[in-house]
Amino acid sequence: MFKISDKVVFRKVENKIVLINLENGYYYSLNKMGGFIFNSIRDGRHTSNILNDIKRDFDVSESKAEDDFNSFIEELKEEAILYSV
Amino acid sequence: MQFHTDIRINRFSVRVESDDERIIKSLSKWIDYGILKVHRDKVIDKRIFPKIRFHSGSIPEELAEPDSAHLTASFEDIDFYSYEDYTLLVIGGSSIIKVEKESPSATGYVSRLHLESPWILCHRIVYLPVLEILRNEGVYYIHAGCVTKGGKSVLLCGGSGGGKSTLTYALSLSGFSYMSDDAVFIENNGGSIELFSFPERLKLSARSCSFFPGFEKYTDIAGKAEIPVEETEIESIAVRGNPHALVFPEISNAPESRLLDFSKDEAFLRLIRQSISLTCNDGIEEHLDLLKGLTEKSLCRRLEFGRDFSRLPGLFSDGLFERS
Repeated sequence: MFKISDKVVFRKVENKIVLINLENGYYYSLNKMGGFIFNSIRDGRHTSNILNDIKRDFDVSESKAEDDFNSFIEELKEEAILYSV
Repeated sequence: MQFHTDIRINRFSVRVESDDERIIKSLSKWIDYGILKVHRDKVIDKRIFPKIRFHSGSIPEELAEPDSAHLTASFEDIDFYSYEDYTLLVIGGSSIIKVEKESPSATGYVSRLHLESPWILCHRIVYLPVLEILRNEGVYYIHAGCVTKGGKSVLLCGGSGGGKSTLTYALSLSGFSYMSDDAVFIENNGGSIELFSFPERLKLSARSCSFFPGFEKYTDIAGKAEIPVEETEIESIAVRGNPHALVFPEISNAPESRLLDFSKDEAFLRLIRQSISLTCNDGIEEHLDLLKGLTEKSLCRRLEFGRDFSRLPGLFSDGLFERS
């Protein structure tokens, strides 16, 4: 399970989510899949459920979904946008 | 004994007080030089009346060495510290301004060196605390040029050197009302987003001055010329407007300028970069909501700013406004 840092504020504009990390002042724009993962984590969903939905909604294989999810999570962790709980 | 002077920044009258007459005299000197504007009988927003009180003498111990755990941002020569009730601005390591969060007021301790520097005194010691005060009052700054037609405002967003002022002036000579070439304020006025500014002067580079008849005298100066609106050919000014379009100019060497669609999420991201200073996290949610509302409400366009300078007003009228 992961949790979004309380130092992160965000807004959805059109189809993208824009994040600001108040800790370091960096801005980020998430694409559709990134936004989906971010929202799912915000909603407190379990990783396995998120992966199932990625496979179904984005029409990707299980290994591709896992790879994309893990690399995205690592990036968000490196940027201190989320952390493991 | 207290001394004071009233100055104006954009549409706000600001009361500056001090127990040290030298501070007021220094400010007055820069007022005389035209660097700060004296309060005049023009449109003044009376809802917020920021007051800044400067003290002589040494900086109180509790402010002299801010706790690094409260450091929220550093920008050029300024450090911002955020505490529960106030924000502390440390300027050049020697002047300190404490901006209250619950009232439109600040207190400051100005170093002797800074008193003699008009740029630091105006832009750092006075202007920045006023921006902080306005933000605490729900009025947020956007770094953009702005023109208005029929109450509908077009914001020209871009970094320094991106052609904002040149474009703003060119449009203001051709059917658009001038609002600002550099600073616009945004606020929630009874549920609707409103833009306002004080159209007082414009800053043009020597090269830009060479494009406009009557500005030949400014083409030899270094840096940018600050030209009072009264000395320009601008016929119509506006102090308020409703959001209509966001235009992001990019100077190109193409023969023809073009207005191209621009995605709202990218426009939003750029607005954030240009508008939100993360000096203090208070008010950031409201600021973001205003920028999001502004983006969603506005047409978003990218301007390829070509060499066909005289065509631009027509391009804007046709591309952003329905023909009547």
